Amino acid sequence: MDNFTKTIDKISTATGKAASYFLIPVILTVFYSVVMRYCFNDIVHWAFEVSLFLYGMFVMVGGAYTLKVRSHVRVDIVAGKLSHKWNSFLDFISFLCIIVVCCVVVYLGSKWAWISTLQLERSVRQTPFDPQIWWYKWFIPFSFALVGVQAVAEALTAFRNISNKKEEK
Amino acid sequence: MDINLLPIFMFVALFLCLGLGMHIAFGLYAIAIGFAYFLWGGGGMNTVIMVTWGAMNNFALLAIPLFIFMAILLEKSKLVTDIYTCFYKWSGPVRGGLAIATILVGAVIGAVSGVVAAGVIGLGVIALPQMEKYKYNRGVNIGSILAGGTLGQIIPPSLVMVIYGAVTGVSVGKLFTAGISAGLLLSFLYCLYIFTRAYFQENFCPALPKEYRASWQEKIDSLQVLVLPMILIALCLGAILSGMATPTEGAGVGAFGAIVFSVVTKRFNFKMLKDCLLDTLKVSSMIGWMIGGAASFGSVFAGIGGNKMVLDVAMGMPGGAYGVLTLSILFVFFLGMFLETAALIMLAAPIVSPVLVAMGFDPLWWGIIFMALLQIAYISPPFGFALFYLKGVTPPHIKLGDIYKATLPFMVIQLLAVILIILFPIVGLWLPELLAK
Repeated sequence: MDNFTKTIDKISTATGKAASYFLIPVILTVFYSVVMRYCFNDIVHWAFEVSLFLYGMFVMVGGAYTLKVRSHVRVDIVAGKLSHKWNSFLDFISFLCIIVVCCVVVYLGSKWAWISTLQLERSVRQTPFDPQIWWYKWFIPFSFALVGVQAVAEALTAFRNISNKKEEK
Repeated sequence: MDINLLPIFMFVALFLCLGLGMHIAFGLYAIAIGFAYFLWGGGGMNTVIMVTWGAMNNFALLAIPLFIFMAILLEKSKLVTDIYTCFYKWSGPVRGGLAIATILVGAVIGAVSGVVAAGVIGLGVIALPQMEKYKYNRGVNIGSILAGGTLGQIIPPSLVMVIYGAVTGVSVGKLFTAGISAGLLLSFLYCLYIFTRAYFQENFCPALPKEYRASWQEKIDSLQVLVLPMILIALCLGAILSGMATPTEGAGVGAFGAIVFSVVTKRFNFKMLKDCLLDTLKVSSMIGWMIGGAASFGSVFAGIGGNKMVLDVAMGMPGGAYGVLTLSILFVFFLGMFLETAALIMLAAPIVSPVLVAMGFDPLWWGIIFMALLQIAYISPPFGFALFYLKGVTPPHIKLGDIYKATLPFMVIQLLAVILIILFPIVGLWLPELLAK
């Protein structure tokens, strides 16, 4: 049980760290395209979509890590006034809700991304770059799956805390 | 069941989610999925996928991580210290000078950084000990840090304006321009307040003793630390405000400039860069997922006629347009007491802003009032975020109660600014109007 949650934590941390590096190429791409456009009057056709892809992966894949380090915002007016047991119960409900959401999105998103994959779909944006985008669509089910798995680990921990009378916070 | 009641049920579900302390992003997703399923069946849930896909392909949102990264990197590069040292030397002989310097430093930091935490934490660490040393009244030293530090989100570049623009469709560039005028108005009112009180109450915030004042030579020398930040402001903001670059492009330039700044000032190292990236990821992901959730909620809400219902109710309100305006302000103010600002924008703006625009108000004008209200939200007890940022870095003898008390006069000033902008739109909008000519 402990090993299970620890493994999940590791996965979320690793994917989060990996995703965080995507920001560097975003900065460089945007900066490069601005310089080329305004200083050399040259339009960098690939910059727009490449930076979008990188941004999307950065934010989406980072979701699980953000959940792990408790950076997803929640309102804690009620939570502050409850006992440890009730707090863990509310936590449990929250994470259960995340798991349900993730299951639905992973299922629907995979179907949708699969259809796109069969067509090797290209961008609708009609730029000369014209990239394939089917692979980018897979990041929706993939990221929700990561979040869902992290939520399972969190839900298990919360569940254990409900039964445990007192636990260090 | 009456179908017209569904939007109300959606609201009830939303407040239940918030009240139970669920993760806002996923609570919104859950409500959107649930309502879509029961109304439109399994296929209806695809709305959520489409909306999320839209959020992943919105170039305007790219500005969010870029601005966050820029702010965090500049903060870790000790930019606040640099600028404060300079203003500190100039403000010595004036009564209340250090507090005024704090406000002005907050404004300058605001012009290079779009994130509130950077300003409040930076000033809390650097300015507070100085003001305590020279026996400033506790209310004014804490208050000026909170007021000055939060100026960052109304003075462009501003993260919340990017989000507001993405949610409501108001031009971010125009919001930025209006933000300068509103930010200057606020800074001016803060300084005026401190100056006046210092003038009439001798021991409220005394001037520095003669021997601690900087010489002219030192003052002139201290100006050189401002050169790099000024260049950064000129490049990043100049490009956006002149309309040459989109906010996202400006943010890219700013983020790149921040890296250059930290390298030039020899504060750059790879450990710091890694930390910055991870911190940026946390905040951007939180916002990004919430945008997905809020947009899903919004699209289902609109699909079942929610927006129309809100508009109908608003049209039938007694008191006419200004009644609705007052109610909207109270609504935002109330939510601001316990919601995080990004969440506040995403929940309140899509519902309130279209109604006010439909009633004939200028979207930009309302946008800037909304931004000014967010200033209040940041420092309003009991849950204003800036209060906790500051509490996190202050010495233990400063209690949360002290911080609460210190915010009051500054909240009154902010409210005054909101009223001024409502009564005389020109005080908030002179810059965009000037540029439009």
